[in-house]
Amino acid sequence: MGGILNTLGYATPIIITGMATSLSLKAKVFNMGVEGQVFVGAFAAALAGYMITWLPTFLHVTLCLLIAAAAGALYAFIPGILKAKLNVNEVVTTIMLNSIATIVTGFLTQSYLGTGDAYAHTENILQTARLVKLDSKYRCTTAIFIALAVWAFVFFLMKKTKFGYDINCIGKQMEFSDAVGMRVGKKILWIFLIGGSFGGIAGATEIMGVNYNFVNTFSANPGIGWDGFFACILAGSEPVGVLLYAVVFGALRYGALAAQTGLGVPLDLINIVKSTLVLFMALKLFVNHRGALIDFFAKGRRKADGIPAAEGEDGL
Amino acid sequence: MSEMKDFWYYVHLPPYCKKGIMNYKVIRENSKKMVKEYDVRLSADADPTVGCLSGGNAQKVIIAREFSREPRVLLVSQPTRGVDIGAIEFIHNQILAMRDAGAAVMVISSDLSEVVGLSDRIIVMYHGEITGCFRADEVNFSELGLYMSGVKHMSAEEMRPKYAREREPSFP
Repeated sequence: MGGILNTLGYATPIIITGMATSLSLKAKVFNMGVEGQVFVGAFAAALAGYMITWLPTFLHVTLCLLIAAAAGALYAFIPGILKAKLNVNEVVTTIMLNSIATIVTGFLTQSYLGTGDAYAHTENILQTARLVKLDSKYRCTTAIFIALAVWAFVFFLMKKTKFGYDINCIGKQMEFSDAVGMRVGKKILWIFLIGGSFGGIAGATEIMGVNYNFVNTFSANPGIGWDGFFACILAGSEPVGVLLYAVVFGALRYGALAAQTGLGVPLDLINIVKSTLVLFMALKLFVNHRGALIDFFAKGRRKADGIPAAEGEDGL
Repeated sequence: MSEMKDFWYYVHLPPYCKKGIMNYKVIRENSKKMVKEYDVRLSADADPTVGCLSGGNAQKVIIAREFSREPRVLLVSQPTRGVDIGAIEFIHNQILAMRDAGAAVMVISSDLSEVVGLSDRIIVMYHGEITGCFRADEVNFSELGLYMSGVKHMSAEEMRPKYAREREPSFP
């Protein structure tokens, strides 16, 4: 039982970030900035947790989550509007903004908003802002219900609504979607905003449930945003797959700790396993576009034969 | 490639979509109906993605998508390029059916037999200018060829009587 609860506890933020990423990857909009949005949201939630003192528990928790979502959405607005209006490459902007978010929040924690302790952290959040652990010995909090609610919401959005249908079409061919009148720019902006707000919520659940304050190492290696990204890629942006992979990653993370303490296996082995999974997934994408392989080796000799690139589902 | 249902871009209208919620059952039924009506040949065990269809059948999917909307104005560009004979026949019949239903149909094609066989009026362009306008029954291929290569050129007075309407539109 304890193992399951710990696994779910590690999986909770990955479910949320995985769904945020899958919404954007389905539209072939590569929002890699979820990690930065997690940091921004977590920082905002940590501050709201101890600065707001007059609210009862339920309202305080909800307010912290909303503030974190708003902070994440605001942070995602920057690459979103740049991509929608000016077609700035979102991969570059989001990865750069990740670094900015991580370093700026770390700096603020060390200098102005931190306590004076040895490891830099913000003030502990009040009791009213904390998420209750389901069983006090283990890591799983009520955040798992928040994560499942987010998952259900994004599932509904992607599979049942017109918005999800439009995102699907934009992902399959953006020019056609633009030509038939789906407002591609507006939808891309909404994708970033929704993804950013969920990233903020994921960070907030970590702060409010596990750490109770903000340290700049709370998003452990490689980071809950990146774990969500990997889960999304491995699952091909399908919601059910993201859920399964998030739980698997949670199990891997917890199992790695247990293996390290019990068996002496180094923790980084988990990253090797995850990276190998992603590498094999990348090979699948490579194999699907056999034309690229042929062109690379034939150096244009076969282009005259007109061998077309293989059609197939990208999987993204 | 996209599935059948992903080609219906007008699905944001009812009955396919109410208040933002998609009704995929109705969409799928409509797809099946279109497939039957427009004679799209699917093999029974292959998956119904448009990317797995032959060129002619994929073209028929696009014809189905546009013609089923009963448009009043139809612009058809190269409708049968790369399409097999049976599908060509079918597409031509569909275009003529649209004409009979009262739509204004403009067919742009580089296939002379298609242009002459389908059209009521033929317009030839050369270097961006309209150089000739004929009724379909009064012209042959070599005559058209001369206009197409810019050797002959009709003046505006010669073209004017040909623009006259042949039939009144029959919309309700």
